[in-house]
Amino acid sequence: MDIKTLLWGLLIGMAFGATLSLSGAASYRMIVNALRLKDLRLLKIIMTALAVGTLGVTLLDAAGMAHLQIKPAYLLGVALGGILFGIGFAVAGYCPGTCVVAAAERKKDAFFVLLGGLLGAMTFGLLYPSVKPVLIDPLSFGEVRVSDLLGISPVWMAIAFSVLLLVVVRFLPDRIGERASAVSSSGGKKQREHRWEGVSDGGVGGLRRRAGTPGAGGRFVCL
Amino acid sequence: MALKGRVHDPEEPLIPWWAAGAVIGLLLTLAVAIAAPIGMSREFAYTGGRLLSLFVPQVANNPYWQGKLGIGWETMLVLGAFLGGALAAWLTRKPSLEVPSLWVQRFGADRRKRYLVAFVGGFIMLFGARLAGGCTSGHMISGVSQLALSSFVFAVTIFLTGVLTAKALYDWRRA
Repeated sequence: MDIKTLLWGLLIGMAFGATLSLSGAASYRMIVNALRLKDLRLLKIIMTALAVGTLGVTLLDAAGMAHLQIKPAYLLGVALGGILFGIGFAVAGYCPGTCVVAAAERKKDAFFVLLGGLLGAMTFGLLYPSVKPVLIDPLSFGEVRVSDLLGISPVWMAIAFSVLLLVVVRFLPDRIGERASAVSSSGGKKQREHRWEGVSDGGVGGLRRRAGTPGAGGRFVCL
Repeated sequence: MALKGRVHDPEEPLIPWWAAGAVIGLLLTLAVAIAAPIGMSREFAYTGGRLLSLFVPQVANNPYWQGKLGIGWETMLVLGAFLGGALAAWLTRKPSLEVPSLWVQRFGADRRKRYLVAFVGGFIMLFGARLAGGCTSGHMISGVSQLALSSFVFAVTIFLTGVLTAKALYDWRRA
């Protein structure tokens, strides 16, 4: 891969990481509350990204300008891997990309997710020769797209899928349940109000502060 | 963005969800136009392999790693994500965080407990990601955007098990 492409990769990665940071997606609380189906903003980020991405990628492909990498459908391994991933995701509270970003934001627990992740991925690499014949080779259907299965053109499927996602996102609330009215949503403007319960750098304690009040040690850590 | 002298909650967004979603979708489109989709988890395995091969050189001959341990597209993406996240956090003066608030409410403020669980969660998650061939970025965002059957299967399974696990941890046995 030439140096220019690699530099593009670095730039896209930087924009991706900055967006994950600014959007709050690299936050344990937002991720776990999304999985508890209480705070739906993360799901709305993903659905909006999919609506834009599906349309963009598919149109690019129709124009012959896309470098697609359709992941092969080895259903056993994908489903079992997905099950493990879902459990680990809820336990860790970050996904692989967001744990990198959260670690960069100096969220200490994300460093441990990162370390565990390195070890887990490395373990899979070591086991790969024995896992492959059992979980990857059987029930393997190659690079199948859903549009092929349905027998429609990818462009039409992408348009229908994107519109569907945007309609769902439009009507999905930001929050469900208890805190729905207590905490404001979307964006940064109205968030000065909520309560912080912090664990400070120096010691642990249930500090409760109003946003905007600097912490005792200056660098206080909030939740 | 954070105003001067103001401290903001590092667990809350600074930009609205629709803006974040739109930017991620456009970045994916740009990435696919230039070289390849966005993915994060493969690099964990390659970095792990690189580290291990320093101590056990024959690891580089493992079919999973053979000929793939050089710097590639995803190496740059992950490196970039770290730098971009650090830069954004620095520019917006995002405070650091030891233990997430939600965790403290539920499991207490003992940080060793949280770090141990974070480590174990990370291990299971990345093992699963490599078995499935992708993560939230590679499968859920990039893969579904390419309408890959594999990624739809992945998205549905992680959503189901993720929701069940989170509910089991936080909502089923109320303390």
